[in-house]
Amino acid sequence: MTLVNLSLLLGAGAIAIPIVLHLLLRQQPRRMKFPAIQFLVESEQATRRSLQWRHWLLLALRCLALLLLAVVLARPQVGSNALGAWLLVPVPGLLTCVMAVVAAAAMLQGQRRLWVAGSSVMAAVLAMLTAGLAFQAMRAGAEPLGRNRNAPVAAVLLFDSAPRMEFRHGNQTRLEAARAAAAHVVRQLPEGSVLAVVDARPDAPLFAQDRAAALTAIERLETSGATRPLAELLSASRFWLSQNGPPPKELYVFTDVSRGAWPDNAAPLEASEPPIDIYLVDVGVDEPRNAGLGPLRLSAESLPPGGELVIETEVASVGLPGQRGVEVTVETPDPERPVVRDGQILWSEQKIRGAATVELDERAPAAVTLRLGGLTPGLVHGTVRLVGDDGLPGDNLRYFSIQVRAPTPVLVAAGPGTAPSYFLEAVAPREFRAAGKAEFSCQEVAIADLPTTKLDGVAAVCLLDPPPLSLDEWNRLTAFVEQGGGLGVFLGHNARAGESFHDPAVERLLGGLPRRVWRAPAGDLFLAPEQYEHPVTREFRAIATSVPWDRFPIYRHWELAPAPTTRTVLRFGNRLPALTETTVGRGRVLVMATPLSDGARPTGRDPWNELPTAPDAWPFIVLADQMTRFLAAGEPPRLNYESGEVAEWRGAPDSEPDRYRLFSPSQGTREVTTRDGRASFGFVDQPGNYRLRGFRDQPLDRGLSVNLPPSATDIARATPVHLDRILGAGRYRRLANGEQIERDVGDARAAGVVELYPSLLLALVAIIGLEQLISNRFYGRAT
Amino acid sequence: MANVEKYLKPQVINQIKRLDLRAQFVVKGFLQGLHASPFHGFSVEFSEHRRYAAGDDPKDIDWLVYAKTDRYYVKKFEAETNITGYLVLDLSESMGYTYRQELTKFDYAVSLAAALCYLMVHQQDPVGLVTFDEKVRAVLPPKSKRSQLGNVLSHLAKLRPAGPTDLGRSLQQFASILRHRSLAMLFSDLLGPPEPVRDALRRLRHQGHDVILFHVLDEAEVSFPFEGHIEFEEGETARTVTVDADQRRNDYRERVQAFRDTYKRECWQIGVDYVPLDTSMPFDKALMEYLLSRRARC
Repeated sequence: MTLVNLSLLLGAGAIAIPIVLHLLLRQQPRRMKFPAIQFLVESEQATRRSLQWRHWLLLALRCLALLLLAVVLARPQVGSNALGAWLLVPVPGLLTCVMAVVAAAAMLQGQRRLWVAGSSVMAAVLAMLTAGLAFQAMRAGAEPLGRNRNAPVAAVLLFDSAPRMEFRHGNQTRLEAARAAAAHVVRQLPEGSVLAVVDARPDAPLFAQDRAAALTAIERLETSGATRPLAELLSASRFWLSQNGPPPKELYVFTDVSRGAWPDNAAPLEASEPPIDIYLVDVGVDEPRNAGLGPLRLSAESLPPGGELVIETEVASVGLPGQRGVEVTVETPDPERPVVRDGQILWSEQKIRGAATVELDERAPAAVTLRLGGLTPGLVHGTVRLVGDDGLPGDNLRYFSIQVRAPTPVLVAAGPGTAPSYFLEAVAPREFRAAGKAEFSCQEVAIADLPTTKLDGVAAVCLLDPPPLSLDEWNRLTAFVEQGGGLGVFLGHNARAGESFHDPAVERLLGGLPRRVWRAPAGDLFLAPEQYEHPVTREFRAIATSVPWDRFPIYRHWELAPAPTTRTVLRFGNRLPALTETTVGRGRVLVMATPLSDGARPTGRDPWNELPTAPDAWPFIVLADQMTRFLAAGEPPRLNYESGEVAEWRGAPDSEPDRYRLFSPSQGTREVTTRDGRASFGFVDQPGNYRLRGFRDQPLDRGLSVNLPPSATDIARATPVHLDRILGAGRYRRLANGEQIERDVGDARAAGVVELYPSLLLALVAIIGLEQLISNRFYGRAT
Repeated sequence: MANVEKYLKPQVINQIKRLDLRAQFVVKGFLQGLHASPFHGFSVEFSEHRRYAAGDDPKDIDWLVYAKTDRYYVKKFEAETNITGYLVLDLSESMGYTYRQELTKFDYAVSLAAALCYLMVHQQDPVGLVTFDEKVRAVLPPKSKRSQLGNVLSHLAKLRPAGPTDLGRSLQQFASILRHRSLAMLFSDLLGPPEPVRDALRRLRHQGHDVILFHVLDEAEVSFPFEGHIEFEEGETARTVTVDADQRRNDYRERVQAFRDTYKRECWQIGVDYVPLDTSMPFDKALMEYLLSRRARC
């Protein structure tokens, strides 16, 4: 049993008052002259006994009344229905005994019939009440224990701190509403509760705090671009609750109940043991009105100087019709900026380079395509902005960065009897070369001229169907690769097993040996990619099932025996390696087991495959382009990230500065050091354009852009059915405001608690009534 | 006099301080009431005429005789036989008690005695007064002269109840005083042991006296209207008793009634007229009892 107001139990000391009054200030009977006393003498003795009996009865009743009053004010509760039911039995039982004694005494003393009958009836009624309560107590015996409303609890306050919580409605952001609701929750937590506050930041710690610290933490909450999924946080919080604090355990989730917070693909929450009360404090807006940009899809992150950047995105609307403008701005290159001056960062100027108008439609996002041309070489930062204001500014602005650079020089050495034009056209089409849009400038040489061709400034060397080279030439190529160059070897009919390919140095360079030629004259062998993780095959990932590899038969290919450190990028249908990648030094080597330079009808022999020559050979073009890109630049640095991803920059160590200064969109700058040409500056959560400025011989600018993931700004409401699927129907309570929190949480905590207050109050009234009745008869009315 | 019957009520008669007037009002109110009552003709009978003298009531002048004789004659009423009456009054302290009435038991008894005295004197009956407490204190010999009324009343007016009483002894003493057959009208609350009183009454009856026992109790002594927890104190003996009045009320009433019934039964057995009175009752009951007793004697 617990007492809500324990201190008021001290009031029980007031029973000393009637005792003192009884002992010291016993009320004297009224004195009165009366001559006919002879008729009273005989009954005096009986009267004296009766008076004493009533004195003690009154004293007992008054003490009991005061004691009961103190207990009633202390509001006793028991956490057991059975115990509560049994505790209610003694009170009417005691009253029954008192009334029975009164009735018996009245009967024995020959008092008035009304008094005897009244007291007897009352005793009978009380006896029936006692019996009824006892019966009820026996029935309640098997019910489970309840809880105490004021017992300490273990509670985790989990905040959705995604940027969509910045949605402003009623002159209050969702985060501000969550703060207010959370402060209310913290204040009404019982004393001694174990408390933790956690938000959705990836590195947010989960630890016990006292009430003041929790309130401070709540006050300092901010949104973060990178957030962990709420379902994951729920699991972590439940684990923490299972390890910390006493039961009952409560988990408050402050969320806008949006689809972004509770995505369709969220895994359903499993039932927890011990049970944890989950309260979903809904601070969202029932009918939000907002328009926002979707993620940007860039045609390329790297463009030649004359190239055109195509930006595709869409404008989604929630409850907001009408037209909105979309404009794209590009930063004007300024070698002096960004720069910190007087503590302020001065950014380069932004110029509007394109605009469009969209018609907002709630049913489907409106697609927007923006084209940018004439970009100056270098790193280009830009933004796409949805013109106009709405409740959530965070999704009205998206950022992008692209690299505009001169064509990369590639040396293509073709073996005798080959047709290198297929490859050259695939890598740098003639039209592109003419328009200056080609990303590669290919230098074609015969393989015999390779020893006399300088490799300085060449990013990659492609050997199309090479014959065995001299060891010196292999060594030269090895040195070239070790310096960071790319080497592509496309083996064909010119290669001969057992010659220079078998030199250990060549084997180390190529990552394996061509052993023998496989033949598949029936034309039933094709390329069969199994994974699309490699940069060469990544472009096929989205359309993996619809690439018509079976239209490009392979008739012959070398059987490669790759070394353990060599990675197989592509396989044939017979599961033999088709394309391998080997890292040598800082460079990379691709070896393909079948050539890409066989024409439709080579002179004096059959073609080894129809990859370049079959109709509609676009897979060949993509493959050749991607291989050349990989060879020329390795894995190209990403320039556009989502919040929460780890951003890094990888460049040539001999040309990369030792350190950069990072200018972040949050107006802060810091030093970033590089190691082996690689600069990593951790995960980025703040959306915006990031600039890296370094110096090695001359100023060198790098940079990247970070955008919010779509879920971070999706404020459309999740349906109750959807929530039930994730959280489990009936396993959580959805609360909307402070009163509801107080009522529902209080009810949940008090579930099963038996309040003895009403019953004891009733007993108190009965005792006071009885005391009044007896004392009135005892002391008489004023005469 | 308009509606003198109201003077039969003790609370009204208390407003008249002069005892002679009080007696006069009581008797006249009583007689006026009798005219309309079935007891008409009881009272007194016309005996003779006599010459009017100063001090006679002009009302008694017989105007028919005056018309015949041109002289004033007054009617003379007289009983057929003369009865010597004694008003015997208890002077005990308990007689001075009242709880919520206008008159104490003693006042009530004195008013009644005065009325009876008035009545007897006007009937030419000799009337005397005897007062007692523990013993006979004063004896006013009976006389039938009109001046006797004044003597009795003036004596009555001076009496004050005080001290203890010994009813049996006093009555025995009174019995030894009486020489002729007399009518003893005893006024007492009879609080005390009943046996000596009974013995004394038997002796009086044995001596041939008629006795009317006016048992005067206070209204509160009969109804016991008290409530609550009360300590009662008897004035004469300073004895105290603490009782719950509510609880004891019925018992007390039963005891008082039994006390009265015992007296009534025993008085009837020995030929004593027992008149139970309380101070809330009109005086006519007592007067009627006297007249009934007198007629039975004539």
